[in-house]
Amino acid sequence: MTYSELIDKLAEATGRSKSETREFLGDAVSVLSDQLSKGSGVSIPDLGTFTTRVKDVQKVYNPHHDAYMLIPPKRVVDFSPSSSLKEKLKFTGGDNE
Amino acid sequence: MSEKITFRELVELIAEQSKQSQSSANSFIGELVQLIENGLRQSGSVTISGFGKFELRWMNERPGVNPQTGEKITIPGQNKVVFKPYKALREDVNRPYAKMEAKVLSPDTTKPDPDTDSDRPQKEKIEREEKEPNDVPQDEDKAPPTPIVLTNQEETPPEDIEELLIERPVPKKKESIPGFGELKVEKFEDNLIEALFSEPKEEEEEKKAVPVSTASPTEKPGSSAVKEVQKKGAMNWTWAAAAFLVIAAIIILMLLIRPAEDPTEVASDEPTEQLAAPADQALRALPEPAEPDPKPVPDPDPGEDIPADISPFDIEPITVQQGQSLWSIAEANMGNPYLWPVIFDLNRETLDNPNLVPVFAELTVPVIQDPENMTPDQLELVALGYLSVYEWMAENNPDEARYYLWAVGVFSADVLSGTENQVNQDDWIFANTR
Repeated sequence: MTYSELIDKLAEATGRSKSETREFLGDAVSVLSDQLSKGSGVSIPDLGTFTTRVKDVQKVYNPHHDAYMLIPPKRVVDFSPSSSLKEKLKFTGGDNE
Repeated sequence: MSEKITFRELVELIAEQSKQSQSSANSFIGELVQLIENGLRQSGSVTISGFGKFELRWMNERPGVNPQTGEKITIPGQNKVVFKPYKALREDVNRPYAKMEAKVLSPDTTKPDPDTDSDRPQKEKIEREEKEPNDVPQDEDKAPPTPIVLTNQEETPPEDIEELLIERPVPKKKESIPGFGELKVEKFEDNLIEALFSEPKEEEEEKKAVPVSTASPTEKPGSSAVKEVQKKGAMNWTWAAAAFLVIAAIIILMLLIRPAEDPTEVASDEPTEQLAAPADQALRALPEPAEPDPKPVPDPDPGEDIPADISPFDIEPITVQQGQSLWSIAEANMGNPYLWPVIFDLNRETLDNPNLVPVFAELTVPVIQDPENMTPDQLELVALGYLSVYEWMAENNPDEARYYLWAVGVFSADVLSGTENQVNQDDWIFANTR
């Protein structure tokens, strides 16, 4: 489902105009991003939990230089789907298979 | 450790930001969650612009162990919900670490070599985009004290990093090419590892010996590599070049022995560290036997002799979507991302630069029934594709071009041997030595 399809359906479901919906969703996303950027986790019922995690320094091989490199630590977003969502979607086929 | 905010706090923040009531924010999120679930069920993926993409990923059944009883069970195949954060979110989240950059290590140590410190900033510019070199992490201990967040559940590994790597248009040569190059790659790595760890002293001496012989007019791969090392001054290059030298010297020597019997006793009795000089002199005297396979070189210009319409592939036209690279197109349409040079070769009129694919460009993409077992004709086309990329790289990025010539040989040794007189000799020797 693309972003515009999502906006269409969300507008329909909440009875708002598309532009209002787009703005509202944008606000929600920016609040979520802010929280994650601060390093705090966010739980959304029935969807799952967003957390951040610091990946440690990694040592990787760079074939172009025939040498090992240290990749600096990195903070990444983790998402764990809620158990209810996992159960519901466990055996439904998406068409991307 | 970081705190988590509750859903109530989140709703308050969203309501505040969007100047809506809390109840409408609450119901909005509820609808959003419902739609994400439905969208995942129907189409397998839901995109939220500026945030990320939720996807269903099918996990095949796999063996497992019941942790309570120790009994072996089969975990049935099932869908997994994964979230791929988009670039904006990734950058926001990674901001505290954004200034740090990758650092090159000498191959056999974890600690950076103090000798190469002065040259490192120069090298790092090659490695990554320009950033301040001050914050380079020395090792784990000096990681900045930013709060480390632990996850309680381990079911969702960080997909985003892997995705990023996969979507790079340039193949990573270290990985074995599935179904084709595995043996060669492993052999090379073995050689390298052997060279790095088992005979470091001999390499040191040989390295000293070679610059003496660079006065010879004959272009020798080792000497150019050594010059590069001196230019960049980095320890790891030295090691790689030394390893390369050992291999090159041995091969040249072995080839010399075959046609000309005379140098045999001399050469075989010489200790390793003196091999480079005689080999170099002999190479100057007898340039012909240096060819690893003295074929009559019958191959005509391999770039043109197979027109696209009679290619052993079925052709299908596609339109490039936003975010696609040749790499990802090859992965999606041909089943093996390493085959991307074929697309480049077939669409040479459309594509000037294999790293820049115009959005909505119309490309012809070959269809391969079985990427694991390709016919010799198909392998030859792939090799010609790599040759085409090599020619482009030779003009635009000569330092890295030789890796593509090497790949030509991985897919078809015949094509590679036919290119001998058309390509840079250093590159050709490099491709054949590996």
